[in-house]
This record gives sequence, C-alpha cells and structure tokens, in this order.
Amino acid sequence: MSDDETDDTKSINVVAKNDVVPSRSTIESESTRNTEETIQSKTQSQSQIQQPEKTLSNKELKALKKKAKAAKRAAAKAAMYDEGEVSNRQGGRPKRNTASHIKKQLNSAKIKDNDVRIPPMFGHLETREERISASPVIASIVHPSILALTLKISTYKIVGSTARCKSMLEAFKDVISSYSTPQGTSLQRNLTSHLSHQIEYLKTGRPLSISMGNAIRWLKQRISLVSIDLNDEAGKRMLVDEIDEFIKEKILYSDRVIEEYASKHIENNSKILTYAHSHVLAELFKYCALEQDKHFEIYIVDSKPLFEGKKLAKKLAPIENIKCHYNLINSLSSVLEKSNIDFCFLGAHSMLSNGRLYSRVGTALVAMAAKNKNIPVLVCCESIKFSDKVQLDSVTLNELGDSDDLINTEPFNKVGFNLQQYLNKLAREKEENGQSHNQNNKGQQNQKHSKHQTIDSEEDTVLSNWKDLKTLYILNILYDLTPPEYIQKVITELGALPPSSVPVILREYKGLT
Amino acid sequence: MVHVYLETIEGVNNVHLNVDDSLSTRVLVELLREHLPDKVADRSIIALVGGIPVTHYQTLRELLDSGGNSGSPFVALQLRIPICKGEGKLQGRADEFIALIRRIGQRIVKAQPREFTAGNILRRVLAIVREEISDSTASASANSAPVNTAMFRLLVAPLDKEEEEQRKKERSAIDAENDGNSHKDVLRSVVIQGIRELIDEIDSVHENIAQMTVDLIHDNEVLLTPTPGSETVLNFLLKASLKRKFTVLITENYPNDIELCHRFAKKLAEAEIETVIIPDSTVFAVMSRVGKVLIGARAVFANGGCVTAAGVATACECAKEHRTPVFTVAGLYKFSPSYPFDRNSLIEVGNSGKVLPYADSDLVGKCEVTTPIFDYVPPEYIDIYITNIGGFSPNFVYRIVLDNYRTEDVEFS
Repeated sequence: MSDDETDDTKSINVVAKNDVVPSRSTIESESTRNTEETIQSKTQSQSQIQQPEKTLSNKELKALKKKAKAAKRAAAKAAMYDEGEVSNRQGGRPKRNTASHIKKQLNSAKIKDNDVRIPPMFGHLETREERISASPVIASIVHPSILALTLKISTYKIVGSTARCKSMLEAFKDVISSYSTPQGTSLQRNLTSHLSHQIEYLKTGRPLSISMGNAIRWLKQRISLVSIDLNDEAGKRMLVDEIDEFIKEKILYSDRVIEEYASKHIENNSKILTYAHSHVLAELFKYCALEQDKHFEIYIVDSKPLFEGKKLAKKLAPIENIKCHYNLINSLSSVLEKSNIDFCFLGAHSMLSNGRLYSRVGTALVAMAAKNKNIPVLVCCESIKFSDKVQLDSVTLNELGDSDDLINTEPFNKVGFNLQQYLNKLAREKEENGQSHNQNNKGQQNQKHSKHQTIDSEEDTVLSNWKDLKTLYILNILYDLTPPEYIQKVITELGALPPSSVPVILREYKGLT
Repeated sequence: MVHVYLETIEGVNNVHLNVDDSLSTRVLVELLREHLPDKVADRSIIALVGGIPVTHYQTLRELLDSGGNSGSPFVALQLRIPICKGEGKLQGRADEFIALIRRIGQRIVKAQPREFTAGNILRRVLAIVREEISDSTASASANSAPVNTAMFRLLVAPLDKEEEEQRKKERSAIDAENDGNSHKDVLRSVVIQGIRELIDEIDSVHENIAQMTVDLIHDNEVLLTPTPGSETVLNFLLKASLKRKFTVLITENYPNDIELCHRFAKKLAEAEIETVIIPDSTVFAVMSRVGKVLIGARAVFANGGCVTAAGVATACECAKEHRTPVFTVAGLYKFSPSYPFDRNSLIEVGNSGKVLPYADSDLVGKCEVTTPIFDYVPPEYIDIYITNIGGFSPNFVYRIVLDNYRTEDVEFS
C-alpha cells in the first residue's frame, strides 16, 4: 500500500496533474454506485463539467507511467487499481475537494434527531442531536479507522479519557499513513484540514475529551512544524513516529510515573476507596498488587448507567492480593461508616485551571463523603488532561448522554447510531411495502426493543413510553465537577501537587503539551 | 388448605378464601385485594388470621410491603381484633390489656426489629390505655393529684419513681375496676375508641401533611427527592402541584427502588408536574440548582435522625454542603421513642444479586457486595420535619415523642 503511495506521489510531482482525492483507500472502498451518488450531489455546486476530460487524461497518463515505472508490481494490484480508474472514468468524478466543500458535504449529511428531550436548565448542553449518517459521501471523506472509532466511542465500547485519546491517536496514525498530499498544496497546510474533517466526524460520536483536544492541538502544531524540505513520505513517517512517541510519553510512561508516586500511599492491609473506572488507577492497583506484592482491599463504588466499576472489578478480582468490594453509589454512606477507608483514589477526565476536578458523574459525591469522613482524597491525572478552562458548576459544562440509557435496566448495550438509522429505515421500508410483510417487519423491529422488554418486562413497561408524558424528562449527564476543597492532592507525572497548582503546571509545561 | 379470615377497617367484610398453603404471601395479598370491595383502599388491608402466622418474618414483611411504607394500619387492626374478641378470655382488666399489647409488641419487634412503625403504634395504644387508667384513678380517688400531661410528668419526675407510682396507680385502677363490671366495659370501649382514632389519624396523615405545602414551596422552585418510594412525598407533591408550579428531580435509587421511582415519576408527570429522573450519582451535579430537598422517612428517632432509603444520607450530606434546606415529611406514627445508638443495626441488607447479576458471572463470588436497603440520616443533615401535627426542628423531636409515648413502653421486653 505504502509502496503504491510513493509511486503515486512521485508521479504527481512529475506530471502536472489535476487535484487528487486525499486518500486513495477511501476511493477503493467505494462501489461504483456510491460514486455515482456522490457525483449527483457534487455536480450541482461546482463548475467542473470540463474537469473530467482533464482528469481522465491525467489519470491515464499516470496509470501508464505507473505501469511503466513499476513493472514488477503484482498484476493483481494493478488490475485492482485499474478497476478504480474505470469506475472513476465512468462517473467522470469531479476531483476538487476544497475544505469548504467537504464541510458542506459533512453538513448536508447531518441528521437532526428531533426525538431528543433535554431537561430544563440543560438545554444549552451539547447534544448529539446532529449526527452524521454513514452516507457514501462521508465514506469518501472520512477514513475507515475514524468511522470505526466513532462508532466504538459513541456506543461506549471505548470509554474513558485515556482510552479515547489513545485510540484516537492510533486512528490518526492510520489517517496520516494513508494520506497523500493533493497537487498544489503542501502537507503542512492540507493535512491539518484533512484531519479537521476526521475530527469533525469523530465529534459526532461524542464530544471530544479534554485530553483528545490537547492531543489534537499538539498534533496540529507538529504538522505545521514539519520541514518543507521533507517529501510526503518522510513527513508522514516522521509524524507517525512522533505520535507513537507522544502516546508513550504522555500516556504510558506518565501512567508509570504516577503509579510509582501513588503506590507509596498503598500499604499492606490498606483500604482504598475508588469510584468507577480509571485506566491509571487500574494500572496502579495492579502494580501494587503484582509488582510490589502488597495485600490490600479495594472498595469500588459504581453507578448507573455505564457501570464502569465493573470493568475495574473485572480487572482486579482475579488478582489474589486484592480483596474486592463492589458497591453502588447509594450504599456509599454505609461503606464509609462500616469500613475504615484509608485513602480515596479518584481518576480524572480533566483537571480544570481553577483546581476543580472534572470527572465521571458521581465522583464529586464520593469525594465529598470521603472528605467529610476525613479520608484523604487523591486524584491521579496525567498532565495531558489538564485544561485551561475554568468552571464553577457541573451544569454549565457537561456532556449529555442518551436518556434512554437510564430506562433500560438491562446490562448496558448500545446500538450504534447508524445501525439504528438503518434499522429504522428498514422498518419504514417494510411498512411501506405492505401489510403482508408487516408481521415480519415487526418481528425485526421489535427484536431490538423486546430484548429490553422480555428480560424484565414488568418494570420496564412503566416508563418504556416515557416520551409520551410531556412533562417527564430523564437527565443523563456524564460528568460532574468536584470542588478543590475535597481534594487533598493531585498526582501527576510531574509530581504531586495541590489542586490549586494546576494552572502552574499549565503555565510551566505549556510547550510540552 | 388455609382458611383466611379478613377484616377491613370498615369492619364489614368477612371474606373467606380457600387457598393453597404453598401460595406465596404476595400472591395471597393480591388475591385478597381482588376480593375486596372497591372502596377499600389498598392500605387498609388488614388482617390475615388463621393458619398464617402473622408474626412470621416473611409474612409480616410482605404484608408491610404490600401496604407501601405504612404498615401501621395493619398492626392497629390486628390489635383491634384481639381486643374486640377478647370478651370471652379477657376480663377487661387494664393490666391484661397492657400485658397483651406488650406481648404483641415483643413478637412484632422480634419478627422484624427494623420495622419501627408497628412498634410505635403499639406504644401509642399503650399510652392510650395508661392514660385511661390514670384518668379513671384520678376520678376514683378524689385526693390524688390531678393528672398532668404525660410529657410534663415525665420531664419532671425521676423515672423509677414515676414508674413505681404508675404501677401503684395501675393496681388501684385494677382494684377499682374489679369492683364493678361497668368499669371494664368503659375501659374497653375507650381503648377501642382510642384505636379507632389512631386509625383515623393514620388515614388522614397525607391530607394533614399536604395542608402545609403552600407554606413550603414557592413558585418555579426546583425540588429534589431522593426517596421515590415514599407515598407521603408523592401525596405532598401532588397536593402542592394544585397550588404551585415547580420542578421535581427524582433520584432513581438504583437498584432498590428503581421501579418505584419510575412509577413515582409517571404519577407526577401525569399530574403535569415537571419531572426529571436523575441517576443517584448526579445529585451533586444538580444540587446547586435545587431549592429544597424533600425526603420521606421510614422511622424518625428521638434524636431527630431518621432511617430512610439507601443513598439518602449522601444526598442530604450533599445538600448540607450546598446549604440547601432538607425537609422530611413523615406521619406522626413514624416517630419512634428509641435512640439510634447503633447505626448498623438499623440498616437492613438486601439482595446483592440486584447489584451484581449473574450476567457478571466472572465477578460473582469474587467481589464482596453489600446492598443496604436503608440509610441512617443524622439530625444535623435535616432542617425540618413536616408531620401531620405541624413542622418541627429535628432537635424538638424528642418532645413530640414524649408527648405521645410513655417511657415505660419504650422497650417491650
């Protein structure tokens, strides 16, 4: 693949060629039908009717050149490429993909979900009422890795600031390696905008986390710093290497350093309280138990709807040195009353500049209860999660989840947005097809719903039609803000500090993030 | 086969059912409900006698559950039966009454030590009996000092002395009663009348509490209730919605009360109150927007603390951190004269399968799971108690308790 790319880019340099679509892999993944559809949407706006001729000849030239140049290349590959050519030729595909044009395409693919009902006071929060359907247009712009990642993030398969950031960077590596600079622009300029489209799509899954935002900022800066003398391939390789470095330095090694700092607080027979799941905390507990051979107890407090604590429990339960306790948040007072907790460890989504901890909703309750029992609250947070935002309460800044997630009492299992759309479309089509199919269709349509209902049909029926009640709302926010008073110290890879020193880190180490 | 005898508050319905022994109590209660005439409210299901041991843990528990959180009408009626029927056995003597009620009290406390309302009602009945005795002694012996209110005497006189005096009085009352049959009948009818009044009081608790809504809620207020299981709270809010427009945030109380919460929310929404269901974890996030926290209680103790649904203590603590007022609505019958010396003994533990279902089989058995059903809220987290006899500060609760119960009845054994 990358071989092809090099050839390709060279040929571009040699032949004065018209614009090329950003990533060839996306073209290849498209079917002929899809391209035709895209054309329909594109031809209206652009005056590119003459373009096809030009591109056609260019393409042919290029193909010829390619064949001549790389004669040893496998025949199959060449054939495949030709096929792509043919489809392009047939469609007379316009090639111009300016940033504004792509943006327009993305916008046109957005679907407004009017079904969302947001509780009063929370109307201002960013919702996913606008989502992008997986139309072929999108597939030509957005890299498959990003599509997959967005799906995973939106269905909470990948959850947690660190995990999301890491997988995003991995996906960006794919995007960069299959990227080729179009004619007439430079990598430094074009890659950034190309990435922006990927990010735009990624945002439709869930809003970006602070760490993702920081990583993106860093990456864009890196791209702008790529030397103009480097050719595409070298530049891309350099960027991919730098991303690898970044992941290692900012996440893996940082976690390791934090673990070493924090492990001093865990002693034999310690009792540790923690809430939900945090990647660095899971690693910390594993490190203490397995590498330092400490025996201790962990009280995991968890809550609806994500039940991330179960993930932590599943990681820690098999470890012999750790005795796991699992509680839901409503038994918090009993846990604190009955067991002599030594430390409360909390993970972070972000540390805000005014010292507040922005983390999974419920964290603030745990921190407050622990503080009132004089249990030190320690937050483990990589510096990549530090944000220069200032916030005072959890209402103004937050992320809204899906209300229906709270109604389904069965184990959390979300259907991706596009699948949902597809199923809905399927159901609608079948309904239109006539009543003879109706039975079938219902079976299909209901399969999803009945999955929820059959299990505990009794309790779910109460509110399964909650949207019919005009004055009923269900609030599912994902984060809350813990005041700095509750936090004893924040452990970062740069050392342990009080929450008031967060802006110091931001200032001193600005260049690094 | 078990023969079920049923008596309702109206005292009219004697329903006879032949049911299988192996029937679960819940099914049985359902059956009974079906056979009751429409006008009989759910809560006034009453007495299951004959074959089914009422003091049996499961049965009592189930019965109390079936009546929502107010198990008391049931107990009161249960009591009325032995008293009404006692004509053959009982001579109508005061000490017999007292002994009988105390015996029932012992059984009930033993059966379900964390169910305080039942014991409270029995104590109220005992107080009525004792009051009647002291009244009759007062009238019988002209030279004895006029009877003061129970509260005052208990405050003034040292306890053991008081008790001795009381016993003396009882004895003399008994002697006096033995003199003539008319006294017995008077005592019995007075006590039955007292119990009837008690039942009426319990039945009208919701109405009386709801009368205070106007004073407590302002327009467009945001209320939060972490006890969606409480009928008192529901009635309070429904009544308030007639006069005020407000928003109610309801916590889910997952996993214990999730169904109740949904039902609660539905009822409120149907009454066109703006209702928002929030997960338990979201309490802190929204607390800064909440005007008042409204909680229901299972039992209120003499120190002003109360036992209520799990998770409420944390919510109230959070309210305190935000300086949000917390008020508890509770009928007088929930006020218990005991003190919560041992917090953990008050709290019942539920089925941990609700927390970790078998779907998480890789965790079952490896993780220790506790599911408390109740929570103890200390008095410092509560600002006022709203009862059917008015609003009180938590540190005044002990006075209310002294008004209604006699110290000698605090312990049944």
